[in-house]
Amino acid sequence: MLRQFLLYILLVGLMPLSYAKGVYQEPAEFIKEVFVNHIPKPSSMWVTNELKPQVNEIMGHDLPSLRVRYWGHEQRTVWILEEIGKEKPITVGVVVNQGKIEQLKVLVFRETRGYEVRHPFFTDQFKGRFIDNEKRLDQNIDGISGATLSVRALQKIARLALFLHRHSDFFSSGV
Amino acid sequence: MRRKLLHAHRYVGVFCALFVVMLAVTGMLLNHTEDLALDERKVTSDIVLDFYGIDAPKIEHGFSVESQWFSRLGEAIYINSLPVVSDSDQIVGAFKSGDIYVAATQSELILINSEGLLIERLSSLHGVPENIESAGVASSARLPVLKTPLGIYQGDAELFEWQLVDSNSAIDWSQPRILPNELFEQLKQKHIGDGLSLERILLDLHSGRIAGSVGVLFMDVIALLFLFLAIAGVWLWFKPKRSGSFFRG
Repeated sequence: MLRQFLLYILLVGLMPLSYAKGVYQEPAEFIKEVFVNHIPKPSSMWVTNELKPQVNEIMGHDLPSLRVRYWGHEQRTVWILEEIGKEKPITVGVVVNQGKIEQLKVLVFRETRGYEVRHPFFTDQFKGRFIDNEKRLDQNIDGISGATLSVRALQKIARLALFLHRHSDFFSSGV
Repeated sequence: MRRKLLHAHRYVGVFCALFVVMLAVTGMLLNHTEDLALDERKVTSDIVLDFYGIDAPKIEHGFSVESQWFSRLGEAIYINSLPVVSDSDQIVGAFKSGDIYVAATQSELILINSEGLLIERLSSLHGVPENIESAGVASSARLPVLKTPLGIYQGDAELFEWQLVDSNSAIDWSQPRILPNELFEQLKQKHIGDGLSLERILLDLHSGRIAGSVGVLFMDVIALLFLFLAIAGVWLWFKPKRSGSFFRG
């Protein structure tokens, strides 16, 4: 009886870990969902010497690649970006429409802690957010205790997507 | 009682002799670590590295494009001896598209500039065919070509779009080749990092950690046997024999 009870406690204790990691949505599915049936041809943006310091300012480090692919249609762009939370990259899909975030979704989470950031109660805070000239979000994002690094990673990704959108072919400064 | 103890002392002594020698030699060497630069002497023996779980690379093949070599050791893709990405599938080919070098793995294309910097990684998310078996360049159009279980795909120069093409087309497939010896040695050195210092091995021999936690416990037992030898030896020395005192002969 005691052995069964201990096993139950162990299993219950490990459940959050098993929920923590995973592919919540394949990036390709996310793009399909955003553009419904009309997926535009991917575009690419070079992280030029002009953009590099600004990207570094947002992320705190250089991007691992010199070019970023994205999908755009009219004034809407979709970015699949990654940033390390504590040890492993979090893959996030960001939809930016007319310079503001339309949707932000955690697609792949590989860490064992901080998975709460995938829930809509958190990601919905990014909807409608935009960046000012200092590349800061216009409003604060409430954190989650115990998930500080994941929250920080998502904030960086949101700022980066908004920044890159501003430099894409699908951004009109007049809007 | 004395006879039994003497008997035990003798056998334990013989058993422990090897360990006394080993501990004395390793202890002396460790006492002079700095003088002998033991921490700077690296052990590169494959057998020893394998024993420590530091696997020496086993792949000696790569793909060459012009004068550049592309290879995969561990999970890292290298251009010559420069690591480009640290987490990749098996490399299946390499080619050049415009000014960009492309290393093809089973699941993605890794684009690299002439300075060895990663441009980007393209996967099925970007329209690249899945389960790539080999890569090459169409002989006539010089456009990139990928072979998959579903057929042969030809891409545009920007690697944006891929279309199934006739399998009888003339294609220069990228072929695996043996890495130049010098490059292989450089990669091997990079892959195993700084290797293993002689000091580490001597410390592990001295403490028994070379055999893991069991080894440590074993050396504890040996230490207890040393104590036994010391105590029993002193006792036997001073304990009078039945016929009289030891000192009386």
